[in-house]
Amino acid sequence: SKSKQTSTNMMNLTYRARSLNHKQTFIRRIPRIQNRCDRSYATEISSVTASEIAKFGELAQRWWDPQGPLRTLHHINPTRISYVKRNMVSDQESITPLKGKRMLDIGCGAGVLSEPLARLGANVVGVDAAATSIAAAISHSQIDPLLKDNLSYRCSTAEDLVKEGEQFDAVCALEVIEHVADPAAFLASCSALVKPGGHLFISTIDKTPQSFLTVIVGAEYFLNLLDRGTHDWNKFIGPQDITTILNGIGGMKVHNVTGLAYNPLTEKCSEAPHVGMNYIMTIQKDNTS
Amino acid sequence: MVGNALAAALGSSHLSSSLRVGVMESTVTADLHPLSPNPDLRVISVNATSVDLFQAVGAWDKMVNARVAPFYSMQVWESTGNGSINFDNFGDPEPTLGYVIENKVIQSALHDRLKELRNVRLLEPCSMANLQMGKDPDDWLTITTKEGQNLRTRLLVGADGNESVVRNSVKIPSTGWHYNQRGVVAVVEHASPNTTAWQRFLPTGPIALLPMYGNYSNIVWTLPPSRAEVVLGLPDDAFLTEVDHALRSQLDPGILGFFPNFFVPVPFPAKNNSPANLNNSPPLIERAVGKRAAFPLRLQHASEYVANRVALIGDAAHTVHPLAGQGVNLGFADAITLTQVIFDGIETGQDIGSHSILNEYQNRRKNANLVMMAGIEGIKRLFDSSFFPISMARNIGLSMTNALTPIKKQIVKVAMGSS
Repeated sequence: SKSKQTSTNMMNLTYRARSLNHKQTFIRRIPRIQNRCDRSYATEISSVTASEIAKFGELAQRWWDPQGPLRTLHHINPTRISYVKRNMVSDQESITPLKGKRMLDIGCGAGVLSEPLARLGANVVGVDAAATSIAAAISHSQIDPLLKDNLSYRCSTAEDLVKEGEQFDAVCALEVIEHVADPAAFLASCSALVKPGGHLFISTIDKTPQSFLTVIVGAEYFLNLLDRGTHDWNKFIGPQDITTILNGIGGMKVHNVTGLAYNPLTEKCSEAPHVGMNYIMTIQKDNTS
Repeated sequence: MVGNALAAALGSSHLSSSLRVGVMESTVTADLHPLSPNPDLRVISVNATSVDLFQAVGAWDKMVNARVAPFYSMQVWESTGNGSINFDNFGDPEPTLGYVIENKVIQSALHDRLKELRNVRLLEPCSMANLQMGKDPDDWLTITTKEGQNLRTRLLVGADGNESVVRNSVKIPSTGWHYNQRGVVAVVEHASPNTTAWQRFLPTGPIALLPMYGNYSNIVWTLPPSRAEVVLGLPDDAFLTEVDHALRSQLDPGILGFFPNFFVPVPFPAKNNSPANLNNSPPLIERAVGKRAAFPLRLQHASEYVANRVALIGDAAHTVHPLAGQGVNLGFADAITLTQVIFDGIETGQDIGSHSILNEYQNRRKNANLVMMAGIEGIKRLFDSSFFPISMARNIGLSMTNALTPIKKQIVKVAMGSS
């Protein structure tokens, strides 16, 4: 047939097709990097628990797998990015609306949030406590030439950054606070890392009966959207509790709380009124702080 | 055409400067200026959605300045019985149902537009010799060309027709079949302009008379291969007689429901027996213009439209029977959707060759295209039947549909690509 003719006429065809609908696990080669930061946890109290580090660290190779255990994160990512962009800057028409902003992605994992923020022009620092995640992030970020100049990663914690005196135009703590041991301490660190007048974005899951049913039972047990044990319902926290903690810290104003509605059948996520499940909030630090 | 339309769309947005688009043409595009005054054989009928695309990319004015032929009504009828459907745009302020445009006018306009776009680079001649992936599944693609260049890209779009090299190199299978039919195309001239698209279904296949610029019309006549050979070889006056029979003669269904093979040149009473509720007869043809040609007809559908950092649009993804004039319009719709998905991705900082972007394109287009293909195939098989009960039901169906304006309005909406 003619198509076979075409194939044989092509020289040294080495491409093996990977159909996107074909469920495949692929192994990503992660370069070994010096695990200096793992040693530091043995001696310091940090807001991140060792088990959480291990849990997400093991997933390092699977972060970017579109059918992997973190696929729902990829599904909700565009909605999160869109929200952050809209609540941070006024010029929505530019290709690089975040240009000139230095941003921190705390709990960045393998860079699922960091990469788009960098493409939108921000100068992004991605920080995670799991060394393997950081290694995966660095490895993946080398694929896209657009990420060369304004994206960097560090294996560290929020507390360590505060000690170094770091401050950013915006701090994104998305899908992180439900994995930390001490949310109040974590929020204090995040607040300290925001420049006066800068923004803090937090997204997490509310602690309600409905979130137990959908995000734990539904997602982890029935629909297999997330691996079992991904979330601990006891660590979920609602926007009112976060607001209370922030009021205690002082100088941080909550601008809005928006729900994130995820449809597992269409794999689409959209902003919606908050109904006790996933949500994202915009907080701004006073200029005078 | 579809690939160039996509490239033009990717160059026509306020977000375009974030993209560098390369267009690989296997041969250098011939200089089409000045445009020959003679009508060209290859035409397509373009629906409103495709015209919107041309306008959005800044190529429509170039086409209008060359020549386009709007048509305002359509008549579909068949060889037996009295059933027919007449369409117009039902009082819509925009009366145009569509345009018939020569392929070379579209190609020329798009090509000229691409030369004006800063972020689009025309590479011609440039053919793909080898496609290589990196070790990481998310790595960019490396294309080695026959001309010896190495191109790296985050997204390769295959718009290279139904024998797509891109589709074959990522081993996406396609299914389909060859129709035992060939499409004979010819240009004819009337005494005055034709502004209606005519299509008559015969037992051997449909014959379409599509209005072109001036007094010209384009004929697309679907015939079995042997008949197609005969018709191709006829001298002009004999050819015109056959066309006249095909468009006007009332066929006697006979008792058993089999039709006489009236393409054998026997004297056949060419009664201008328009069926009772046929509002019009197609305009008389004065002369044939230029040569005729025939092309094979097939249906084809790729099992996937996307692969790692690869997307297929147009005939590379799907090929349909020309009876509905939809084929290239489906391709333009693919281009529109892929452009939207890409720009949505850019707005949220995505890697535009990533799986989520490509899956979104596939989800939106595959179903829509399959539905259209099933519809076209269904119509073809319905009208292929010579079996009397079916032809009677067909005619009743045609007449009933003709009487039901809301249904006709919906049909026009679908054909114009707006649903």
